[in-house]
Amino acid sequence: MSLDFLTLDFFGSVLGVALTLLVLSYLIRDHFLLRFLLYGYVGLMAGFAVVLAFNILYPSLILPILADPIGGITQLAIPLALCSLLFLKAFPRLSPLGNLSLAFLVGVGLAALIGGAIQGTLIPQIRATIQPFDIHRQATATEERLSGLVQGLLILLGTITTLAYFHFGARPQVRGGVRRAEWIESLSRIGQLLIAIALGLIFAGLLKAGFVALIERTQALLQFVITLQRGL
Amino acid sequence: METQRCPLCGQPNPPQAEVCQYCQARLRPLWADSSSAPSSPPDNQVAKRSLPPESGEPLPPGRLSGMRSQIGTEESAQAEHPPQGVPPSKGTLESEDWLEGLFSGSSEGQAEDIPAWLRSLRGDSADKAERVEEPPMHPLFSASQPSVFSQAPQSKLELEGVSPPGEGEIGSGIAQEERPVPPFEGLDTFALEGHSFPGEDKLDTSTPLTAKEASPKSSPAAPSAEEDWMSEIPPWLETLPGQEWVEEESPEKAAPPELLHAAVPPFIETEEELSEVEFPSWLDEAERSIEPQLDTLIESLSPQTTEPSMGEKTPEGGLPQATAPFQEEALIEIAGPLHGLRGVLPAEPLVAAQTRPPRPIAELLVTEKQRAQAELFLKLIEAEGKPIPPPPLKRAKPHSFWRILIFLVLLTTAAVGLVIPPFAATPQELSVAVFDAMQAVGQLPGDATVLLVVDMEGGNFAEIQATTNALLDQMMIKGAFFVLVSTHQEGVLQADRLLREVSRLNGHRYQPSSGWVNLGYLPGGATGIQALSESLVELLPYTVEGKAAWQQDRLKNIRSISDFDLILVITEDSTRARQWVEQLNGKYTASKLLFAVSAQVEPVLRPYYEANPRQVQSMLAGIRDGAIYETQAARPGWATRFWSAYLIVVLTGIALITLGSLVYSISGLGLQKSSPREGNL
Repeated sequence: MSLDFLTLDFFGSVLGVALTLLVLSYLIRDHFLLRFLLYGYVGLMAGFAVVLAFNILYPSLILPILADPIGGITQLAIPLALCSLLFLKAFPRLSPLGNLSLAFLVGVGLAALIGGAIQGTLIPQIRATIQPFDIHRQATATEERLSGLVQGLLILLGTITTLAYFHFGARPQVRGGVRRAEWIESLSRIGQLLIAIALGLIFAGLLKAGFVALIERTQALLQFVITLQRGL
Repeated sequence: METQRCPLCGQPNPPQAEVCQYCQARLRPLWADSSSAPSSPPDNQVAKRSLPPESGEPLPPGRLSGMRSQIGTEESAQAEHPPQGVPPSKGTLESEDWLEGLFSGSSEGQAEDIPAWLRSLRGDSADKAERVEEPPMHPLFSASQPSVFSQAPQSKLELEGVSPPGEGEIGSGIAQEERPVPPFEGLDTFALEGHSFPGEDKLDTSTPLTAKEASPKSSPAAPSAEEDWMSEIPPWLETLPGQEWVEEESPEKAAPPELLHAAVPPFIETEEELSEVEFPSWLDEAERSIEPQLDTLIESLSPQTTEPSMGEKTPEGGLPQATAPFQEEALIEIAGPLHGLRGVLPAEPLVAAQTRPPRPIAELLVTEKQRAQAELFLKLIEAEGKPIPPPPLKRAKPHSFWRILIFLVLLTTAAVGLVIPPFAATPQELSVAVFDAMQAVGQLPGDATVLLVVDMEGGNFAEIQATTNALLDQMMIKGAFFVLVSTHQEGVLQADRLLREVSRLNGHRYQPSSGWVNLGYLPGGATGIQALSESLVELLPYTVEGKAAWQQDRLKNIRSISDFDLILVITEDSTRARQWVEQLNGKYTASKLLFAVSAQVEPVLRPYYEANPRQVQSMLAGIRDGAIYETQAARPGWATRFWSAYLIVVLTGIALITLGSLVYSISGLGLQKSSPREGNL
């Protein structure tokens, strides 16, 4: 017996609505069905990760060796050795041998992150902060030049005050306690305000994304009800 | 200069010092040691070897009993061996010397200090005239001579805090009331030194005695030194009760004086012997008269009042009971040459004796407050050993009602926004970001190849779909070929789903292989992105289906990342968005890099977009930019459909947040006013 597309779509909609209601039932209380759903989702993703790993390892590591054992092993000796050492982390006695692979991964990862942050964020952003004060490179119109200057001042102020907030060079006071210099404290208050605004924006974006998800699920529920009314 | 060292701490002290300057230990004993004062008269030896009076026993201390036994030995020796022609034993000689020192008065200087009555005892005729004029005074009542009474010990009653009968009135009592003086056997002559008799100052030495007392007893002519003191009893002594012993005694020349017999009680070693001792009648009478008062006094005292500190006097004037341990310390020697003696001076000061204080004193010194504190302390100690059950966890009260209420409100508004006809028009103004995106898409060639990076989870699929719908639709219209890749595991599936949905909603016939290839998961995060930017073909040679990706016709010309006509990064994670910007910086033309992100990523990504020069060509953030794009492209889609519902839900959310903030602020102010101090604590 073969199922047509509409039937599969209908059962898919039913499954989607059921899972949606299960997730929404968390508002009332936690229950085993919801946990079953979450565990099922985690297991599904773990199985999918295994598939992904196989999809990566098989063409990159296994297949070359199967195709040309000598050449493949010669070519992939170092990655193969590192992978083998990483597998030793599963055995407590031999796990220190796997630190070599972890050190390689961490070192390469940090190098990529730091290098990318410096070249992709730090230098370009510093340049972008300085750029508005380069009057000769700005537009010739006076209004645009003034607008760029004001914008540059605001950006500079925001940058300095935000960095001042993260300045922790405090000194002990006579009355006791530790406090930063007064001028740094004043700047840090402005930076704190700007950081709060940025975090508020992020939260607002997160909230809007959630609202859109709610609307999409509501629309799916309504669509299912409408489908049921029309079909039945 | 000669110094004396403290026996306790060993520090040198001046020779005259009686107390150590460093540790306050007594350097000289309260009672002079016979060895330290060899020149002292022999009559003092008895007293010097005595101990402090023991209130518990009316008998002389043990060492005096030993002396008595020594005297008894002499008596027995004299009885067995007559003194004529037989050399006296050493003890006899000592006793004779002892007595000679009392009666001979060989020293001229000492003769001047000898009182008249003593000289009369010695038969000094030169003093007889003075004796007639001046009635002889008993040494007990003599102020100039260290009398027995002047150093009388504290009797039993006195040590118990009760004045002995006639205390302070002895002298006057004799003179004025002619009250019978207690016999000598009732006096503790063995412990007189070092204690001043309380009534000494009241002794009236000038009071003349009666004629009978004043008239001397018939004295034998030229008596010897040994028998003179026996025959020359002072007249006043004859009136004393108990004088019978003077007459009854048949004095033996070599025998010790009967006075010592009376003063030194028989040698007593056991309690049974102690119970057999007959006390003088006056002492029994005094004890019977005072005993009821003592009982009343003891019963009336509270525990605190019976616990005076050492050295304090009770309000009744008696000595404190702290003298009890001092009395108990007069122990009997149990070893050594002094075995059997009681009250032997210790070799070292008493302060150095590591004696444990008697328990009754320690208990009595505890006040009620201290007892309560001790009980509390004991309770604390006991409580430390007991396992303390952990306090019940205060679980956060689930705000189920409010959560459900808010959810229902939002759900209702979303449903209303979806059901009712659009009440608000989609945004018409063209933003710079949307314009740049449209311009970048518009510049794509007909057979463009687009690298589509989808790093998102399923929860944000709706927003991403609404944001990118028009953009992808325009690319599909252009006939772009998509190469999918993701640094998120779930993104591999979401990318495929996204293209299917966009194709289905906009009427395209995009299918895998013909419309896109999915290269799958890109591991390594930032490292993977960097590797992808440097060696694309070597890093991801196969599709998720296992086919050779770069062998397809649309991908034959692609060898590096710069060969793509456009790179579109779709993500809802700001970190991943930043990593893509950083790792592709300088390796790909910024004019070909587009971002379609969630609204929450916009604050992080916007500096890269607004930088000069730009690091990102364009950026579509959230459903608003998607709606603008759809409007500008005249291709209404998900964003347009959701726009009304989106607006009403956002407004409802803002209203709920504002209302909740107001309620929380008001309730917080109310709580702060109700308990201002709790807040400070």
